[in-house]
Amino acid sequence: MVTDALTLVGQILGCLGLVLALVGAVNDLIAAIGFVRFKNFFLRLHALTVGVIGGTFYPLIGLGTYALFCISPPLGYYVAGVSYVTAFFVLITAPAGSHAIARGAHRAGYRPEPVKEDKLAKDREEGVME
Amino acid sequence: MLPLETQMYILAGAIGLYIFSSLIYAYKLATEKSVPDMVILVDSLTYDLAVFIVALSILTQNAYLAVGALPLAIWAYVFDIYMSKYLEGRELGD
Repeated sequence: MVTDALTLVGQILGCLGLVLALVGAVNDLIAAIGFVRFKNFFLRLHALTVGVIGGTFYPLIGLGTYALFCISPPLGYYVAGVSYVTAFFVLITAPAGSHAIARGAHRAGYRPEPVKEDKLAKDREEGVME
Repeated sequence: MLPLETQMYILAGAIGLYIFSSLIYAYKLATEKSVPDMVILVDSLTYDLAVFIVALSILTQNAYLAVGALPLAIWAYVFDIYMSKYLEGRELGD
């Protein structure tokens, strides 16, 4: 009885994981369209965020959950472990990487357009920051 | 819940969408001239490939494929950091 209930919960979680993977793929497509539609680098960073969190982090969690509950143990545990660890690293490193590249681009002279006020450039001119 | 065949169809559909997105990224990468844009496009392609590899490992029931996803995710971060330093005119460690 309890085992049957646990199996059912596992199957539901597995199917939810699969749906998460499909939704993530749609998010990734939206991000790709965003890359084409947006006009400059700083706007495209928004599309990158959709692609990374919506199109990579969530699908990896979904695929990991699916593998954990719907695939037989040795293979399922292995794929789930890799998926969860990769998702964790993506969650930690992607925002830091985006920030670094945005900072580098700003320092290299790329400017957001249209812009009302660029406080980072202003601070640099005034010597508030390096 | 869902029959196994339907699950595999959903997974294959997701893989198809990832391939289509990757083609759009690759087209944009080929036509783009700005370096920061190229960097974030390569990032997106790399993350796509990481998910694609995991999905493919489930679809083909091959666990060894999945291990490639982790180095790819870390490589994207290292590439970001290196390129941001390059854009600032500095080297790693400065």
